[in-house]
Amino acid sequence: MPVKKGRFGYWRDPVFLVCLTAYVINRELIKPNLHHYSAFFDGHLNDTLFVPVALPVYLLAYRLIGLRPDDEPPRFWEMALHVAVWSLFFKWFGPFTLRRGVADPVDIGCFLAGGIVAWLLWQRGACFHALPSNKA
Amino acid sequence: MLQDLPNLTGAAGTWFVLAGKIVAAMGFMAAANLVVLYAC
Repeated sequence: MPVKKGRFGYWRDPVFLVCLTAYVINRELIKPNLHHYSAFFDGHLNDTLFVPVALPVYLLAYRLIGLRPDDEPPRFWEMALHVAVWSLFFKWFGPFTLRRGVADPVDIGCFLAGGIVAWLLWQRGACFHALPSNKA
Repeated sequence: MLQDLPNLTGAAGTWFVLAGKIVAAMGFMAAANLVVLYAC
């Protein structure tokens, strides 16, 4: 009997919701009240939260288009491909061609770190759903 | 040869649909990336 695999919630995913909440709190409450520039709150935190917030939205769009065949949690290659594209777009094309954004190589590391942690959490959820006691 | 035509059309149609989905996904990604770049 096949084991029922975990279904990904996209906009209902807990990792997405927690990271989106953290992003909004940082944007609306923390950053406006900072008295000095903070590399963490002004840049690195947003870049770290970007993949767990953006990837579910992008994957939902691909699902609606019909390109994504199922509702499994994000695969590693999906996360890595998007990190590569976003790194090129936001840290090269944006700053050098559109004159928008900052070309900081550390931000690419933040994208990658946030993506890997989120991917691990998403896989953990999938493993939990695959436990025998959670069979349908 | 003529008997194979429906199959060839079907395969071409499948590839055409897949190409359309990929183009649509790339269009969404480009638009969404621009929104993030200018709004966030």
